[in-house]
Amino acid sequence: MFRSNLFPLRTTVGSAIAITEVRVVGKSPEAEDLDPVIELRTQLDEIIEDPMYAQLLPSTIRVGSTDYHPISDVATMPKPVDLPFAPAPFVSLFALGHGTAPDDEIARRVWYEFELQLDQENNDPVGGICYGGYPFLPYYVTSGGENSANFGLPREFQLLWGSDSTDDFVDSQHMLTNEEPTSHSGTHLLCTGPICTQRLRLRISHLPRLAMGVSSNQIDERWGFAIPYLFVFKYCEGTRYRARVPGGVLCALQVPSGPADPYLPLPLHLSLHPSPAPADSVDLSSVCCDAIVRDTSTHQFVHLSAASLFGQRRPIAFGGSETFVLKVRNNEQVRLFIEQAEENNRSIAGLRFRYPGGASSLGKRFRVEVYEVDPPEGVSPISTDPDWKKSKYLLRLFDGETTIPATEPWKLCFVRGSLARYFLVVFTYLDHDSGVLAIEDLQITQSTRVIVAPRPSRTQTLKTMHFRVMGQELASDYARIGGGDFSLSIEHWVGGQRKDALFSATSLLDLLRLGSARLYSNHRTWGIETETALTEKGSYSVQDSLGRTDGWQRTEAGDDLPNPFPLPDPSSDSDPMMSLAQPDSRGFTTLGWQESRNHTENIAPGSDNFGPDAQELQDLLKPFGFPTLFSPPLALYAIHPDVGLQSGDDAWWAPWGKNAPTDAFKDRLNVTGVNHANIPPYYIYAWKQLQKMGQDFTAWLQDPNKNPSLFDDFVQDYLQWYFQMGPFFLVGGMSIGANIGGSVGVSGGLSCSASIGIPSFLQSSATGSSGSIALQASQTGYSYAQHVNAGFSSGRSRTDFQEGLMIRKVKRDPDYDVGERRLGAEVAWQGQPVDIVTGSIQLGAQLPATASNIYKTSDERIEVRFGGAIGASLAVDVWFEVIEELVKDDY
Amino acid sequence: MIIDESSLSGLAAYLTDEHSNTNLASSITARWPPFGQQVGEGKLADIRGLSLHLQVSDIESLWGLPSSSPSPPWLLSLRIVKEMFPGLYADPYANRVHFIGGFEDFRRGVAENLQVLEVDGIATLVSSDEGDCSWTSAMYKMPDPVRLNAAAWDMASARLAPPDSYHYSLSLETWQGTDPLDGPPSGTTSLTVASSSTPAGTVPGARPDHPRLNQNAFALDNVVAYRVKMTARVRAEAYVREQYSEGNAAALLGFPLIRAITLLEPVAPAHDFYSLHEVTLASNEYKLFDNQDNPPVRFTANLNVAATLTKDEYMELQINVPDMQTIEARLEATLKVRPPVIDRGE
Repeated sequence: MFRSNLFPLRTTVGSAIAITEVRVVGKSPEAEDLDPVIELRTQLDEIIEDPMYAQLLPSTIRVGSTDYHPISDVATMPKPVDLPFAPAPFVSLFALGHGTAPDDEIARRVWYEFELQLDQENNDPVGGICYGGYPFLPYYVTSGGENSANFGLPREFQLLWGSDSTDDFVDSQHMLTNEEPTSHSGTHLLCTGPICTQRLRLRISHLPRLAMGVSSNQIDERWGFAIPYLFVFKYCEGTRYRARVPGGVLCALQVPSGPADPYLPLPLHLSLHPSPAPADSVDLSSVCCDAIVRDTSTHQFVHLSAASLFGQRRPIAFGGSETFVLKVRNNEQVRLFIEQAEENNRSIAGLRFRYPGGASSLGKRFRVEVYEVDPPEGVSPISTDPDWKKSKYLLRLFDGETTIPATEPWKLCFVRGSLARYFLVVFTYLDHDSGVLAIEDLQITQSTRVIVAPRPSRTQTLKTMHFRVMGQELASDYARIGGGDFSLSIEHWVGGQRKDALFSATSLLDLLRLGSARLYSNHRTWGIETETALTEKGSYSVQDSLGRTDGWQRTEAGDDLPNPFPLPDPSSDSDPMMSLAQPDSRGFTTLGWQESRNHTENIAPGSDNFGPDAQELQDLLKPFGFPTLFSPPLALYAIHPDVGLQSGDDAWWAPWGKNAPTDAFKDRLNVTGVNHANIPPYYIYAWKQLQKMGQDFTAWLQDPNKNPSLFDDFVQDYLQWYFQMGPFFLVGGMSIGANIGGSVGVSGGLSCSASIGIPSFLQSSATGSSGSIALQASQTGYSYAQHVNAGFSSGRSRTDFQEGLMIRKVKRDPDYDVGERRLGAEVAWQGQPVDIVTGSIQLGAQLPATASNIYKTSDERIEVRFGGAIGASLAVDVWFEVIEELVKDDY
Repeated sequence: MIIDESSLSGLAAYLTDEHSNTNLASSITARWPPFGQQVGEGKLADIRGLSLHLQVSDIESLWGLPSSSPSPPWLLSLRIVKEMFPGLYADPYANRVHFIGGFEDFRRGVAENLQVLEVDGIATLVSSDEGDCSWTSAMYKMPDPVRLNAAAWDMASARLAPPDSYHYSLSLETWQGTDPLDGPPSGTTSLTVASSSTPAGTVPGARPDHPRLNQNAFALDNVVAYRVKMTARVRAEAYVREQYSEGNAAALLGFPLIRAITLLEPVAPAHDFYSLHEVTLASNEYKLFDNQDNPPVRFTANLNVAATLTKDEYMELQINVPDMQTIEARLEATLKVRPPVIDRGE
């Protein structure tokens, strides 16, 4: 696919999307009688064992005249080591067709089409599919550079998807086709870019030829395919920056001879080399050099595949895990064609080998060459050409010798970084005795830098380099880039010349120095702030409150209880108020003192309010013949100014406001004497006399000096009345008298009493004052109280501010889990707030294709260096606008 | 590796005749690099101009077109032979290119078992699945009759592609002279060379590793219209990763085949000079030198010619100046050399 950009750091692979259903929706006529095996899986462990593996592998290997059978561990599938996401429900697809002759093209014509139903709850865009083949199939390489078994993978994948929003268009992009004659043994990514769909259609075609074995100089091949795992993943743009680069083996060949016990002893007349050979001779120069290890006692064998180099190692019953092991002789070569496997090519700095350290390979010397393979269009990266070293599409990256170390991994660093997709690693055995090449692990290692250098088949014109730096703390300090020690420099190197430092930045300010740089930053406030707020008049608050309490409470006080507050250290700067939390010299005790004073003012009865009571008494006595006793009644008059019945604003009830008593009410505040009357019904006449005596006595009492004769009249009448009524009162018992006394004021009384049945009358009054003083003191040395409380309260309060000042500390933390964002200046990336700096640098460099006839130099490169680490807190991406021109003069 | 650049100087900068003479007064043809030599692999000559020095007794007569029609009619003819298309060497200043390619040309033709798809950013005829396929272009009518004598075509795959991955043939169907354009073509010229290993029953023609040009094997005059026809049989897959619309994806993909067909029509060379006046028009600078009281006999000019010559390319000067005492042609050029890198043990 034509690309005008290089993305050495970018990835678009997100998390996996569950596949919920898979069904066959079409197949070619050649496959009409064969349904594929579809296994929906939920755990990655489920792919380890499957009965299909044993059917895909040769069931018998003949060495001499003895047949050997594989041990059970051979037909297993280790979990892939380079899955870029956590597994979600996925699918395994298999098919094993009929036999096919070498020149039969049925395998090319067969195709299947599947429909993949994705998780309905997924709303994220789909980014593509991730799949892998079965890496342990024997194969040979055709003259066209095809891996015959292709690790079980079809050579053509078509991915189709629908979209409701674009169905009405006739030229919308709905299909991605990937066709390659040779696939690698690792994990494949087929990236579509962001597409919104919940259903995919997958069409696979051009199936590989699976070698079941060789018998009678005939190779037994069947068409079929094996995809033990196929995931669908989300589109999620990110940066990939770590040492290990996923990869896979395209093929492994050993020349000029092959392993002593080959896995696939291909008859030479079936191979594609033109040299004539006897029909029973075996040619292994184009056959996988995987060897087998035999157990002659059990007639079982183990297959040691080159595909295990990238981490998918099967357990071996003979001990340990699978390791690529080959017997070699002097000057024999082992060629490994490998491929980096991510969706964008990474800058590769070298390789890392780990040897098993066995005695047979320890100390053996090998020449190791590594080439960048950059074939032109339509050409396989695998070549079995004897003159392969003369190919213009190879570029040597390393040439050196190594002696197999005991335990330490061997790191191989290229002469320069390479963005190539394919590499050729050649081991040439240098010792003269027979030896063993044993490699346990091979790792393609990413460069810490991004390096764009000339490649063999394409002239590259680098127009512009873009960069993007993202991090949550990126814009927190302009003196740094992110929170760490990150720096960025871009250099143009040309052999023999001083490098041209195009740009370098060690701080955010440096990055923004570029005219094209843009900073997208979130606003920042200090996490803890001192806030001073002046509340002005007019502010108010309305508060509703509801409260309910249920509980119990216990209080205990006493000197012997433990003190929860330690004594403050006088030398410290502790809060001085803490001293109040300490008991004083009195200890924990309750002290009380109380003084109560009472003062009583006695008021003489007034003449004007005595009337109603007298009238009532008169009315009461009237039925019994009593005469009118008091007329007119006595009025009340003030005795003390403080209780005077003043009127006006300064009256003592003025604070009552509009509820002040009316004048009528004021007049009701009377002090009256208390009258008591007891009247017998048969003394009406006598009572009239007594009434006259009372009137005289009362008149005299009110003003003794005015009518002194009244008292004489009273005495005369009394004596007369006494002798007339005496016999009656003596029977019932009666006394009548008057008294006059005084202390501070004057008091007097008239009394008349008789026995039961004889009316009696009593009126009493007092003037002057009396008082009392009570002093009270208490001390509680210990108290204990325990309460059970239940309560409910409801209230509303309103506070009106006249003026106020509040000083407070405020801490503000966004709650990302809630996800509620305030509208405003905010920059987010994939749901997280980050700061982003982007920029562009004009390059204008032309990197010639080394396969062209003439060019200035191949020792030229653009190099982006990253000082410090790119970590989880800082994502850095650089990409190049490039024009590639294929070198067509390949003849 | 440090690459040296140097100005072409000394005698090596002069065009020479087949006897290595730098004075071309008695010569008909001169070349750079000299006859029998090549620019060579790893070398590049970046030519900025050509300095001419002429000494002619009657230089006045050369200023205008000759009254008669000499043969050849020009005074000087400069040929720059470059690799215009892979393997096809011709003078780009003396040939007009007919280009047939792109989505519109391909879609206006009639295709069978072929799709027009974008492959690596270029419109390409791609076989649908395997088997036979064909494509016939629209008929292109020329405003004036033309002569066609060379053809080259661009295939999507390199020549290193598997030889048996596909076989194909290209032919040019022409209407010439007064042929009725609504009738069948009067001539069919095969552009591809038949393969000796063409499988029986397959389309005869070329394989991926065969040359993709036809030069000097045909010459069609008075062509008033033409069309191109391609047939192919595909037996393999190529490396293709493309995103297509659903309408184009009815069938499986086979092999990306042809991207363009170019036909060469010879035209009047841009560097044929019929008089000194034309030379001065094409020069940055010119001078006439004379002796006292005598007409000028020497003429120098810096001819404005730019060319980059690499392997197997050359510049040729043909001379037809009467009564000439001296003519020298010197290149103003920079020579770039990239010594081949030989790795250890190769």
